[in-house]
Amino acid sequence: MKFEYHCKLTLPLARQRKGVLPKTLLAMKLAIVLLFISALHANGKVTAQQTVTFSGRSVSLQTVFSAIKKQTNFTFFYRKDDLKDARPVTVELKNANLQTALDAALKDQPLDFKIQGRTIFITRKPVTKPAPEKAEVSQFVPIKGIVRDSTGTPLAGASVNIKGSSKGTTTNSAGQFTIDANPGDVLVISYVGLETREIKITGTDVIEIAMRALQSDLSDIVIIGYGRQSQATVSTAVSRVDGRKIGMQPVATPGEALAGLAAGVQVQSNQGAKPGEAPVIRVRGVGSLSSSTEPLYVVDGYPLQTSEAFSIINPSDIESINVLKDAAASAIYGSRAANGVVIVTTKRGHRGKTEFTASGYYGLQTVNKYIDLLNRDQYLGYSKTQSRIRGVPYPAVFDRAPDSLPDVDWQREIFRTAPLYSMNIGATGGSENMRYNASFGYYNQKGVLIGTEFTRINSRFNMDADLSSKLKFGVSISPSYTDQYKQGTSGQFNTVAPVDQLTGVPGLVANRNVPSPLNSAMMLAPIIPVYKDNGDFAQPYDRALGYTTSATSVFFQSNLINPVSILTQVVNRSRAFRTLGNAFLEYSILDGLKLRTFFGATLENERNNASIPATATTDQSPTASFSNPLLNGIFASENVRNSFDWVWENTATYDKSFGEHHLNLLALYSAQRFTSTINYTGALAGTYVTTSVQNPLASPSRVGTVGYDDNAFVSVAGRITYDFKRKYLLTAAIRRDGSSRFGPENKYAVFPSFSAGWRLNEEPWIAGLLQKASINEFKIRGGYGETGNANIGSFTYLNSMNITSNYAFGNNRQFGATPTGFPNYLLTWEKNSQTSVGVDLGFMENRITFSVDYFRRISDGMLLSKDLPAIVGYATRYQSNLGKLRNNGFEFSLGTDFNLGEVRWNANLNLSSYRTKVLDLGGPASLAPSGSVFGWNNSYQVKVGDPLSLIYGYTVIGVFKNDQDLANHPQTTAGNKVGDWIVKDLNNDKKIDVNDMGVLGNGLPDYIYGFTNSFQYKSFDLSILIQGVAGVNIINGNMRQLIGGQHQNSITSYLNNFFDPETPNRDVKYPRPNSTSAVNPQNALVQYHVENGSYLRFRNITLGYRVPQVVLKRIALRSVRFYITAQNPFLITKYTGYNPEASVSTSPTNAGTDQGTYPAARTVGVGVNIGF
Amino acid sequence: MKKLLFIRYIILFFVISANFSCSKDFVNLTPEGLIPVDGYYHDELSIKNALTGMYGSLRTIYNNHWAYSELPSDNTMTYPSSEAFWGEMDKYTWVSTSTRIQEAWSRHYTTISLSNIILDRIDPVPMQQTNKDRYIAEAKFVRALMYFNLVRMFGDVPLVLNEITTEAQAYSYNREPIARVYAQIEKDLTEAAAVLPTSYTSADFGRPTQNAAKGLLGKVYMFQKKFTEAETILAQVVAAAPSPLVPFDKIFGPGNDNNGDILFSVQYITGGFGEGNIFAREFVPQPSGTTIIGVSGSSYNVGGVDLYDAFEPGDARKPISIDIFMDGSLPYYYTRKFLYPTVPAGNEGDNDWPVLRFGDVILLYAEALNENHKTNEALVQLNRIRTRAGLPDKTGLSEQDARTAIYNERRVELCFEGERWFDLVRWNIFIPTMQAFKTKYNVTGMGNIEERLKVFPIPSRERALNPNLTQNTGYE
Repeated sequence: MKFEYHCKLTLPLARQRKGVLPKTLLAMKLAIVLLFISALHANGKVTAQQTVTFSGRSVSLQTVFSAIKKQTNFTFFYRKDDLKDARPVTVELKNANLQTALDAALKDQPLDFKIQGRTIFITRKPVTKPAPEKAEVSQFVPIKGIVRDSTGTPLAGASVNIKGSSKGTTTNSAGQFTIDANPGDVLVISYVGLETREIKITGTDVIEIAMRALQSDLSDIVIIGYGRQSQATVSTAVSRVDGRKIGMQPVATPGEALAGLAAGVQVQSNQGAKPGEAPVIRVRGVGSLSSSTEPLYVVDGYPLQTSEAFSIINPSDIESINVLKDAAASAIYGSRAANGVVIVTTKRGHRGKTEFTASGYYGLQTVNKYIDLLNRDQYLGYSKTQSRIRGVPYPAVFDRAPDSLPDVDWQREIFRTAPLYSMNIGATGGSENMRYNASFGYYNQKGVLIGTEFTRINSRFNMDADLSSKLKFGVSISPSYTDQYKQGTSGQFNTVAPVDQLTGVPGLVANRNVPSPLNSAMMLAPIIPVYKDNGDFAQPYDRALGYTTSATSVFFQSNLINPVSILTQVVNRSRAFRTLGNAFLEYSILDGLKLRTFFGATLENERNNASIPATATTDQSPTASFSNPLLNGIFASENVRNSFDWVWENTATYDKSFGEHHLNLLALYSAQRFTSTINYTGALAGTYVTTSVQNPLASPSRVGTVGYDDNAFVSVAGRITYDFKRKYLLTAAIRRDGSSRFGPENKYAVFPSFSAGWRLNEEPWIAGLLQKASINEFKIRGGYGETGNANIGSFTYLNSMNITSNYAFGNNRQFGATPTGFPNYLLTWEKNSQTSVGVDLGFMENRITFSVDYFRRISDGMLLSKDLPAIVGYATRYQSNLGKLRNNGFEFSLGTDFNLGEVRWNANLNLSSYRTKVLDLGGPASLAPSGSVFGWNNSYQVKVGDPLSLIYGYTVIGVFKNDQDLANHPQTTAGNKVGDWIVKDLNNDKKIDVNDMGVLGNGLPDYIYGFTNSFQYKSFDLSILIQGVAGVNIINGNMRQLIGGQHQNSITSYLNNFFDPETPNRDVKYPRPNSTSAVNPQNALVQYHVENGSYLRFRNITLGYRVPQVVLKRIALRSVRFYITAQNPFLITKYTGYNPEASVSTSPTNAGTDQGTYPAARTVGVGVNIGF
Repeated sequence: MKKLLFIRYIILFFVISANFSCSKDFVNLTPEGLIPVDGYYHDELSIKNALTGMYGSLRTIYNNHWAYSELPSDNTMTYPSSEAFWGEMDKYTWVSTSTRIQEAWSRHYTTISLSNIILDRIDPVPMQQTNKDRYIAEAKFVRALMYFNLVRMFGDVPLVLNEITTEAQAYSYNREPIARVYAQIEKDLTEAAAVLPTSYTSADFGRPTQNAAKGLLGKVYMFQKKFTEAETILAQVVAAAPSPLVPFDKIFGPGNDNNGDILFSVQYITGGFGEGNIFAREFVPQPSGTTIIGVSGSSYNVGGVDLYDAFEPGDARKPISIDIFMDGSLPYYYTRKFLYPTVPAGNEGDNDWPVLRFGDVILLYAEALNENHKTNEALVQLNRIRTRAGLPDKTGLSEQDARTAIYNERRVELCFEGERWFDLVRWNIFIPTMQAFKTKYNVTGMGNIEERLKVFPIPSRERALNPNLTQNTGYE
């Protein structure tokens, strides 16, 4: 059906004629009628030349139709529901013309027909209210009811009919209706785009009817780039996620809620529950080795420059998210679409009385997994054994009664049960010519790790106005404020990962590294107290604790620092104010031709401040404490980024049907410009003179610098979408982009795409067969497209002068300048080309839908750094478009929608998979290998012919128990001793070296899946979201210190599982604690620490209850729903760390390393939604 | 009518936007945060800045120069606990894939490129001709110094004399014979010496003087055994030496930068700019903590007992040059020449690195004279140095004995200053000396002393990129 296209176009007309048409008539229905009228106009007269001969008694209407079809080659077009009420017919036709035949067949039927081209459209006759028949009045009972959509919003204009009778009415603006009916009658309620419902009248109570959207129905609209299209005629791969599934989850960012909801969209919250942290989102695999693999986010038509502006959207403001997955769909966004496009639409206003909504929830988050570390008594025993094997003394206090020593569970000292709450209020409504939606939201989440917190305040105002019948205007503005307190977590106990460092002043004050509190908490011995008696934080190396072995030495190592001291004192805070605003003006010049101009702007002001006070103990001030503040340990910085981005887009669309040909044309001009400035202020290390303020002003030697960013895009694009009889579908698009980011000799590029689809269910020759198999939808589609990845940084092609190469002549500093970098004026986009094919199937009137997609994606000209001979001097490498990468994958999704008695059950299962393969690295066969965690080198290697993120390490086959073993097995180049690991000699060269590192696993999953279930029973609703990955490994980097770390805490499974010279013949997994072999737990990754990272996670379970209408009436509310919700309630995994999603690095070449990463929290909460 | 007007507006609007979109300037942005290289070298100030930048690049090279010139000798060693950093230079285990070898190569070529850029681009820049000539001479001096280091470290090396602007150019250079490289060094130094001033005011201390160029040229001759040419030019330089010589305790250490003994040195400054030296810390034994300097040492380049014992009794240079730190009963011989006791951070040493000084030049002159069979004149020069060291004159030696005396004198006079390995190789006594050393001290982990160790291997990265580069004998 085409009315989706036309409703907008014809609405102005509807208003003009509202005086003459019944007010209650649905605009949508009108649109259908108008469509037919226009179709007739376009087609001229009915040309029913053929004749029909048929005779039958009490045959079904369908039988007649198929006979007519056979004899005339005309096809019929009708809604199946419409024929339900048709009576059997008795006709006798001989050489009757088509008109006569149809008249006869439809005589006294509640149906009408229209002939257009070679298609006969069967429609319901317009409902006419019969004049009240007085005689029967007494029998009828006035039945009152209210019709709502699935969100509880009353539906205006829904048709309410009594089954088997011609009686009917429509609902008013409050969704209410009154109809006279007999008890036992069946009410049929229908609404365009929603599933028709039948309700038997049993009493006189107010009937409440909840309408559901048709799952994957013909009428489902998907948002494509610069337009919308009915799902049926889409020939590309687009996934649609309903905003309700996003808004219902108690999460900070919409990205987190996307996990598991769309096939081919991987969401990895590698920082777990770090409040406010956006997850990594990848669409259809990995498109780049070195540039961003983030999709392009388009919010209400605005292509965003950064994903942050997406992450700060209030999830409850989202109407829908559509993901353009294949290049044929996304190529209309050209040079920025290589990683897919995520199109977000926010809720807009409806005509009608203002409706208010208020909602809120409160939840408590807890860490759902603790690592099984040693307690005090276990630790003391273990430590003594270790000391004996190492031949070092242990502190005398270890031999005292254990009760005299502290027993601290450090994990519980750094984690807490943290509250999270959210409140939203909204209003929507509008007059005939103006509609609006306004909302305000407040979200606050304290992290489960102390010292972390996130607050978000959003408001949004969307308005649409019909300035005249042909001129539309819309405006959207959404200011937001976020406040995030971060703590470094990823990384080793003494150094967090670079992303978690405190930002200094580039070139002047180095970024400050802080110890990783998570890793430290696992390593700290339980006998170290949190506080000293004087209130200072205890540090393990503080001699005052008594853990000493001589007059000068301390038992514990000196750079392991009390994590509570870090978490409570180090501040790394980011506050941002962002406003995203846009406005459009749309003018319908002619029927079907619309011009639209769109202007949007984003203003961002982000302020980061970081401080380490004089009392905080860090590696640079190991003796600082409350009682001993040290000025030289102070760090303070304040960085402010201001950025402004604007986009101006002008589109012309022409949408028209010519007979059975439907055509949609799009032309686009677009220009976008981004500018950004960062001001950094800090003070030189060691120059702080006061503790009274914690900002750079505490030093007289303040320094600052400024950073700029700037880019511009200019584009022209065109697209043609065509379908014939909604059967043969074609789309072709082309975009030409120019960007300031590329070298002057390669500034412009063209991105073409095309796709085609074939709906077999519309083919007469097979439709019958499909019908027998209950298949109502059978679409084959495929396409090819080229897209670009422009995320290569600004001005990468240029080389520039570095003006900090100074020199002091005598003692007079002079400022010098040296060139840096090697220019590449040919630098350009990373190009993606993708071929995608898919099949969509619908069974039993789309109660079951099924889609399968296969894609093959080639990323070519990936930006890699190419080595130059060092004799060039001022540069040793330069950025060039070199590498080639392939992603192959499939996606599969299955949707069901059934009524099981009174229970309505909706389910969606999706599963996808992709495989990466490096095809070319521009010459070299591999890139330099990189480590996973400090000490474990060469864990990841990018090689031509291999997938990305293969994990390399050694395979241990035992422990050298005696000299015999030493003689029998190859040793490392530096030799081995009894108690060392025996390592598998992979290349059989009789020695163990780096060449014996083999593939131990894969950091990217083989499969990702999601399974969502929702149930509705009377006033109750229940939804369960399950999501998981399979076929993935994770490097448990925490084990580097926990296994055999000197004097550190350990895990219980390590106890009595290491080589002890006293019991050399015992079978053990781990080597002697003081193994100095080149392959020991501290300096090599072995298979034991590459764990199975597959998991199945219950993302969300929500149980809701809608308060019945009778109660609502009493309290004068429109709707009230209470719910309890649990985010991440269960996790099924074999991984022994906190979070199997953890990844220290977001790079696709180094996926799957966990070291001190923030755990995923379990949230349990209650909430309420109120409408009034 | 009104409607028609509106349509016109809309059409106009689209036409404007079309023009806008096609405008080339819209995507040709000038970077605000970058100073593009093209167009930078346009006035005297920018050339001066470029020269300063070139000098600035010397800091990194000379921060580690000791590692390439002292460690592979009998003078110094890396303490075992620090061997991961520089052990390969001490133990002769360097390989062509070594980062250290690559760094030595890359850093010298970086400075060469900075000087080439100036030489290539200065011509059209308007300025006084005398200034222009001086800037050219400075760039040539530095380029010559870099090639002098390179040729001594690697033997045949690519001779790059122009800025490389395209990738193809980078592959057009092959290794040139040592003689060709030396010829270019001589040419650059001769041309520089003709122009460079005889002295500078304090604001320009650190730039090469005429005598620095001549002295370096003399040294270059000595490395080629061109003793006649060396004698001639070194005589001119030595004539300019202060008389008496600057006392030995006034040459090194804080407060003594740019003293009268210095002909050319690399300038370091403290003050939190990151422009101080790191060697102040690296020569100090780790176990000493902060008892010797303000930060704990690194033990990368501590002296050896052999050097300690090489000083004659009563040598005034000994307490200034070398000292012992006792860690329990374990002695650490460490250099005092480069001590900066109050160094506030590991990379904040203020003292300069002497590249060429009169102590060196006078001994080279003595050596040249002796090699030219003027032993008595040679001894006069030798004794100037010995006198300063508080040692008795050497008289009446044979040419061979004088040679030995000069060799020994160079060792103690210039210890830790980055001369020893080059001298051993130059004098052709590297193999016997180090073999004897290895045997005498029973050094564990030291590689076989072989002919190939007289030069470093060509870095494997460079050969992988440009297969035309040959490898030095013994490293294939």
